[in-house]
Amino acid sequence: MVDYTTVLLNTVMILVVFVALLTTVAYLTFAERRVSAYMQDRLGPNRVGPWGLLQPLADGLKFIMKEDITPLEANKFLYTIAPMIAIIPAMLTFAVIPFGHDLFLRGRVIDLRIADFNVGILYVFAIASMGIFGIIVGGWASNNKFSLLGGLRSASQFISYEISMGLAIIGILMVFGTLNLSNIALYQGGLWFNAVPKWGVLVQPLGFIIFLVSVFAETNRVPFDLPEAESELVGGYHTEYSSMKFAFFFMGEYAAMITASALIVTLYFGGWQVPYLHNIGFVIPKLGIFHLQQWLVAVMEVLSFVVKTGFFLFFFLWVRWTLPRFRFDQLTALGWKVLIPLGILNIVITGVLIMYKVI
Amino acid sequence: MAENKKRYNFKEAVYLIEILRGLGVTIKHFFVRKKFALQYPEDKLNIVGNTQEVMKVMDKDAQQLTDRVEVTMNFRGKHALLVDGDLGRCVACKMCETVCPFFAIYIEPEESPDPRKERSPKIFEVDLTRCAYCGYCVEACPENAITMTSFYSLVARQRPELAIQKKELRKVVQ
Repeated sequence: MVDYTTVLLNTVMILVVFVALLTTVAYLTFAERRVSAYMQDRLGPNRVGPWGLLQPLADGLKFIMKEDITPLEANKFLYTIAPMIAIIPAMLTFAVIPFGHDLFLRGRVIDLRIADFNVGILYVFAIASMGIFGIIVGGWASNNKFSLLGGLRSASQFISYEISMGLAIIGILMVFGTLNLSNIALYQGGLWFNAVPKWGVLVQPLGFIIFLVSVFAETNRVPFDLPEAESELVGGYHTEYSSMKFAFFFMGEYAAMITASALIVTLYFGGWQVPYLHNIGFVIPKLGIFHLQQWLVAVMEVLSFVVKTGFFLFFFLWVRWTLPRFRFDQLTALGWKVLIPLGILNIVITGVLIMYKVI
Repeated sequence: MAENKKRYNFKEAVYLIEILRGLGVTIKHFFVRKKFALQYPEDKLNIVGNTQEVMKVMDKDAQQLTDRVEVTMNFRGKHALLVDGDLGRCVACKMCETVCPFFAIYIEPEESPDPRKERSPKIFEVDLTRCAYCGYCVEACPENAITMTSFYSLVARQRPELAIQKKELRKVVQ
């Protein structure tokens, strides 16, 4: 028997998350321009609507109105399909990210996540790796040397940093003993010495730094934005793209950024956890319990997740306007000679600490 | 590729500490606002000196001018025909029309109401879409009748609006 209420609830949740993701993508493009302007003592777009808040709508409208150009010698099929390959995995990855714990509603427990996979992290890695094909295929199909170079750079960069990212995550898996993102978030609610929340960043500081750097490389953000290095490769892999196809690449990049931020938060900053907050309210050791309504707790948890993710999105922009771009040999050297050995070191240290029951 | 021989000290070699310092610089700029940008239509350049009067005649928005940035006194903007009392100085000699490299000035003379001179312009038209603001007309004028103001906001919805006529060029001199 199919439980129609569950199906309906899941459908609603998917819709809500999807719309929220797309809205965040739209406003992230706006935030990028506004934040970068403020950091450079400029003002940024402030004309469309109050404080320029309707700018994303105007941008979207502009993209739709633009002429969709396909280069004459391009491989038409791959050229068309590449933006789709770029955006779909970026959207799919968000499915396993838990954005809250449970919500009790009319005697029904609603998990605040779309899919509760027991192989969550593997799913994220598998799907996120698909996104790179969009860039490579798009770069090759454009029949343009700059696009091709952008695609190639993207491929080699991805191979280098995927390894260090995986090595960084192994530390987290050793500590929490699960691949399920919901459980990883849940276990981070535990307390260390009855006082400090057991967040990933405190348990795995070295792993966090490796993961953070790798994530910047995976999402093609500055200082690792070599695939689209404007000063060297015109526009990189999307040089030939225009109109909505370009917009899809753009949205894919920003969606990947949101997923990456959410992943950092889930793995290293307790996901939806608010320190000392449990289903019944705040439980502070030696001080007692402050009772709260369950729905209020759920709202606070979702808010906590949103705020943390928002901070990391801001951090992405913040780093972009701070650091210059790496040279290509520096990029690969950092990946292979620094991050991978550090990742292995991190695993060894974690193993020793677990053996002596420190974490 | 040139090998980098520079020895780094520990702080630079770790790199992360220096990155944090850089992040500090950018966030300082993010929160400490310096106003460099001029929000143009709401917030205009100030016009100094004797042209301020002209602005009052020519531009209704003159009251909204701020005093943040100043245009120099010898800025060459929109033209003006000087008027003493009721009568214009121009004698329609067509010197400016002749000297103009861009054929921006068109003059049609008529008999002057002023008994001291023979002619005055019936039509005096300056096409600002052609003008390059070189100031030759001002130099050529034997009567010091034409001058240039510092009015720079030359905006119109249609081209003919920028072919300005005698009465729009009027500037009263005390």
